[in-house]
Amino acid sequence: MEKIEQILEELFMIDPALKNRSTEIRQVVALMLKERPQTDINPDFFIELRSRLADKISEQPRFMIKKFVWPVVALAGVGSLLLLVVLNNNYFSNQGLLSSQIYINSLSDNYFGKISSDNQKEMFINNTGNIAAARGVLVNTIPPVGISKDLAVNQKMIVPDNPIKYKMVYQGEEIRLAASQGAVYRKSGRSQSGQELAKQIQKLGFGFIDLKKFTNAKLDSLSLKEDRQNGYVFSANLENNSFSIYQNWEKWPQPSETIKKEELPDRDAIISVAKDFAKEYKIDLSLYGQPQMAEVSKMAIVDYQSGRSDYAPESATVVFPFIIDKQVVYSNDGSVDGLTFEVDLRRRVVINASGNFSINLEKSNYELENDNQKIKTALTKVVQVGYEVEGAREVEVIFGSPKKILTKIYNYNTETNESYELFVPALMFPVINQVDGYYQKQVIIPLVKDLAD
Amino acid sequence: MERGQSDFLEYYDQYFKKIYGFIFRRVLSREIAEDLTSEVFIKALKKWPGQEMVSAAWIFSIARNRVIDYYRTKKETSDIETIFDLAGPVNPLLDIANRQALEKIKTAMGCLSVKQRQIVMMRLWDELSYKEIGELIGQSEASVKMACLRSLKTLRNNLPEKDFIALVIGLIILN
Repeated sequence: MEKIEQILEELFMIDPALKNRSTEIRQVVALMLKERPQTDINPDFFIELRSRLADKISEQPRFMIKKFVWPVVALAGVGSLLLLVVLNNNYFSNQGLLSSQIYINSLSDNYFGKISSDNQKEMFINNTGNIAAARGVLVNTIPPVGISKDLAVNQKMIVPDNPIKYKMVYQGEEIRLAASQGAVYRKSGRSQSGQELAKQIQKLGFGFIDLKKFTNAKLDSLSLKEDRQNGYVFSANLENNSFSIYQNWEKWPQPSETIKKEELPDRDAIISVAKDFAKEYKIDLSLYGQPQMAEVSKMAIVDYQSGRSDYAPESATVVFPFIIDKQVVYSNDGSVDGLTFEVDLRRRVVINASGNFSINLEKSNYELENDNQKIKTALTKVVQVGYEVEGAREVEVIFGSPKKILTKIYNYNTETNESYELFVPALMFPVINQVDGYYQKQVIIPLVKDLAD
Repeated sequence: MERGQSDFLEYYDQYFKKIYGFIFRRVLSREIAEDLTSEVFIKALKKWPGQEMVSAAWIFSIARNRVIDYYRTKKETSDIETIFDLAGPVNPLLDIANRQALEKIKTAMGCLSVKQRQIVMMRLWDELSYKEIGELIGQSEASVKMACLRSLKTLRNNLPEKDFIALVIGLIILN
């Protein structure tokens, strides 16, 4: 609309007489714009080129979590056994048991069974119902195609004096959904790291007891604690290949004053702190894409600096997005999923880091929704933020062209009573206009047909 | 990795569509546009000075030079603005409406100088601001604005009213 007006304005400047026919011209322009052919962009090309660029950016020597050579390592539970391994022979660098790897095992179609479940739908609905709850919630996932509008409305809202209801409008390019099938990935809990590490420890011996007597032993977790000023604790869960590094609280002074606006570092500086930390500790980033600041952190800083909020953010989150088959993974709340670093804004140091050092995935093809009308319908009707009451002022929320992503969901299998982490193909639609009181930045629609049934 | 390089993908997300469109409209082939777009962004990454240091004109200038190189390699022209006449409506992938619109535009644009064509194309097709066009072709914003208006007025004077409107609409729909 803005573009039409701009073009018309330029036309009228050249020939004011054309103003007499403005209605007619505007109608023709609007019609032609509606029917205009798109510049034929292949979304796969966009993703593929993006991946190539990301690869080029991250072309650095591969690192492994080689060693935490800390002055004193305190014993902490079962993990203390690892101390012997570390001191023994720089084990990780030689054997790579904690090396950063992604294993993908391809399976037959629909291998994980039906993905849809009541729990799944409930989860999407709850997310949607809560989206207006807090300033900090920037993004959200809408219920998948097929979930009715009514289900997505939070019935317990208290209607304010001047209610607003939001109308979803799609103004992106024609959605092209060529693929009728797509890969769904399931995180596999099977990890060999714990067994292999246990074997090494058994070989070393443990003095007062013969560890070799323990058969089929497996190391569950380990924890190392630095005994120094501003020291860290390293903790690894070998069951699910995850790790975390956090402050050894006894060794960190606590700030007594609120950080001043002018003390807040800029985004590049914050990201650099995370990257420097990863470099210093040789954390392998090869599973992850380029770092970015979490939207929540960005907004908290902007709000504080602009005076919209008195809340002084003490830390900000930097995320290195997890990449599967060159696709970025997003959580179902719309935030980037991956390796996270919490940066202390005052001291400009990392105070927390967590993620996966290795990931085992199973891959199976599923039927995808490729009716773009269904997708658009879902987009325009499902997100119900606002108040469906008489007299409510209607405000448009405009969505732009989506990009293909993978989104993380949890699927509960009622037969086995197990919960699985799945990564499913989805479209993420950006909100391209600014609307008072509407804080979603993007909306995710899963494409797996099961979720629509 | 240099400071600020982390912003490159954000920059890519922001400009991919515009750059692809810029190139596509000048080569009218999806395959070639994809190749050239890839090369443009890879080159941009190599030269990346950080987001604070670049404007839209920076990436457009890389794209423009790459398109010129492409035509030079084909030994057809070194003048990017005459690409219009080369790539033109012969492309069978264009539908009838597009082809007709393009024919009209080609005819009409013939009454403009190379520089005038260049400015009109960048303003209406590529949605560059007058300031960005100025940076790209080395002129002030004010002079670009005047040149654009003069160009449109020339078109207006040289075409019947209905054809002029069709031309502008054509430029819009091809965008």
